[in-house]
Amino acid sequence: MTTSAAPRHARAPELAVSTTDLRKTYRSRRGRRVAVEGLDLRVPRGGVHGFLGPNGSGKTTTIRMLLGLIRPDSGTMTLFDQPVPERLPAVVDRVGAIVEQPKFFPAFTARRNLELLAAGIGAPKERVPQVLEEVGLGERGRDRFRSYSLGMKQRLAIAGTLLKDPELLIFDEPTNGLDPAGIHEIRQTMRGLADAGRTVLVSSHILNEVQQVADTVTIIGRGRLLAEGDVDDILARGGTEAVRVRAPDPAVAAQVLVEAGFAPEPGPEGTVLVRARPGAPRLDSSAVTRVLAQREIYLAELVWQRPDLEEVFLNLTAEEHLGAGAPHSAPPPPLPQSAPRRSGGER
Amino acid sequence: MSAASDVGRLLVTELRRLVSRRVTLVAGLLLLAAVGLFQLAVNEQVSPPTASQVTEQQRYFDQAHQEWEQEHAAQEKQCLDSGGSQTDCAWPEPTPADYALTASPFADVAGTAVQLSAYVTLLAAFFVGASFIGAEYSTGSLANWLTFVPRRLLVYGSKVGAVLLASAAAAAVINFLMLGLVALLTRVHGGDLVGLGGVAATAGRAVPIACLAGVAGFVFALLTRHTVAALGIALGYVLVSGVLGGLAGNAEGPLGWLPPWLAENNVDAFLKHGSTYTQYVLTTTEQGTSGTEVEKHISFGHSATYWAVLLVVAVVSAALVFRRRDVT
Repeated sequence: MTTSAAPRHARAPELAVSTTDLRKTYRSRRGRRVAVEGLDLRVPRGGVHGFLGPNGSGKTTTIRMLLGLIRPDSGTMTLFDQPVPERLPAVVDRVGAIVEQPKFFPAFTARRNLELLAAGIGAPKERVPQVLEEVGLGERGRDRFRSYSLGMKQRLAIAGTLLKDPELLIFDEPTNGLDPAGIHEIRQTMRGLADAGRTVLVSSHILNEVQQVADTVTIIGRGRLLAEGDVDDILARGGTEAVRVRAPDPAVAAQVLVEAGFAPEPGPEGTVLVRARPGAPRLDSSAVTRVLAQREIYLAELVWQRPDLEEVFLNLTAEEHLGAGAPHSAPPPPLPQSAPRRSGGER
Repeated sequence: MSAASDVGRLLVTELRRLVSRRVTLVAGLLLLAAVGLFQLAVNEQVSPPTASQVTEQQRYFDQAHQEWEQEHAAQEKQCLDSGGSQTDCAWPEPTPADYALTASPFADVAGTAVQLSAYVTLLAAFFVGASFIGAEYSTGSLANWLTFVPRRLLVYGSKVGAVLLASAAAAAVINFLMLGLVALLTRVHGGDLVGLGGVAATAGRAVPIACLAGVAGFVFALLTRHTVAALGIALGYVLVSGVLGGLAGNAEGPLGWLPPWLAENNVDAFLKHGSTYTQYVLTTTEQGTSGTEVEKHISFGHSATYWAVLLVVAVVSAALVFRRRDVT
């Protein structure tokens, strides 16, 4: 799948999306349910921003509020520095969004669905075959939407957003129900869109999946912000990296490592877990193998262990549960001024 | 881009979607089929009787006249003796015209035909209007559409406008097609188009009625977010009005005021440029209680005002709901 040319903007605001103290409560016969509770969201411009949290944490509600589909109880939101929903019509042409599952008219062909969208937003009809081609549906454009697989529906929805040539793309759980090939394809598409200069905001409850493609992330739980920032910074907060080594005699190997200044711990199944030396910024795995080899201890296995977003999230939610009763968790550290951008495929 | 061109663009888009829908296509074909099939009955009525029909009808007339000659005096006397009035007990002499020995007048046949097509178009417009927005809610495509065009009132206006225009166009085509075909058959059989203007006016008045029905279906489905629920409301109304209409038969009863406010009576009054309905007044004498029928009139002005107010209330209230309601 390819992406179209870089969007038309030249000078950009710092944030593509922001919310401040955003709240939404759903009321039903069964009572009130707080979906979003004082959420501050900041999505820097450019790159892929993961909007993460478990099911029911308020991701879709937040996205719906940003798009004017539902009304917040309180708080403010901006898209490209324009307050929404008040100024949404002014910025909507710069935003493409797919909320939950792609929703088109099932009895119409893909082409017909897109033609109607194009007519509605004043896009030239000639864009329709172009965007269908861009998402790899050029030859299936005359098939009815209802005959499409879930992956094809997602691609059609992406084609719909591309009709506007948007600067910001919002994908809500885009890989739900997709097979591994479909997931891979969507990830590549998101990465490609970001590399073409667009901002991609992708929500997901599968944290490790987004970790592979996101530059920055926001993690929420129960409608509240838990963490935000660059993926590497977030991962660093989740714990230190380590290597797990398997040696003929774990006790001897551990002793040698202690003598070399490491702080080994017993690992699972007779392995030894080695972390960075105290004060050292990173763990040097070659130093571990060198120290052991010098004492003629040769490793049968060496495995890197890095913290992932899921682990970070579990730690954060565990902390929140421990701190239950406090009105809010401590505010997260601010986003770096210029978050490093990833490019050239998935992480 | 100006607001006017936005409105025009969205209206055209909604119209394109409406006419692309299979429901619209099927409804249109069914309406055309109904008009075509009805011409078989029309042809029967406007053609002059055949020789065998004349012979048969003459036989029926002779039998009836013979029966009248033999029995009317005795029957009338018996009726008067039992307390009936002169008017009630009269048994008029049968005439050849009573036995349809001539072709039906154009105005009668065309009037009936156009009223029938008006009601069928009304039902079709209601269903198409309801499914137009109901499908958007059930498929979730409304949320998708609003992410592209977030101006709610503009979107609402374009959808209502599309339903109004499509209903008007369909009603104009179907009702005037019906009238045209009846006129054609009448002329083919050598009849005169006496009363054409009046029937054409009825066909013209059927257009706003179809628009009302389309908007009503749209509004009900928008408020309930479901096509079937909108149809349920219509069906529920038919049942309730049937019961209430029966109870409202007594002009002096607690529901005696109701008939001028029933939708079906106002459709009738609008189509026919005024209509009548019947109630009864109970009179109690020493001999018991008897009911006397009284005819009451609903004017065209009353029905026009009735529908105008309902249209404004429905369109405005649905707009307010659409503007504020969360779309999920």
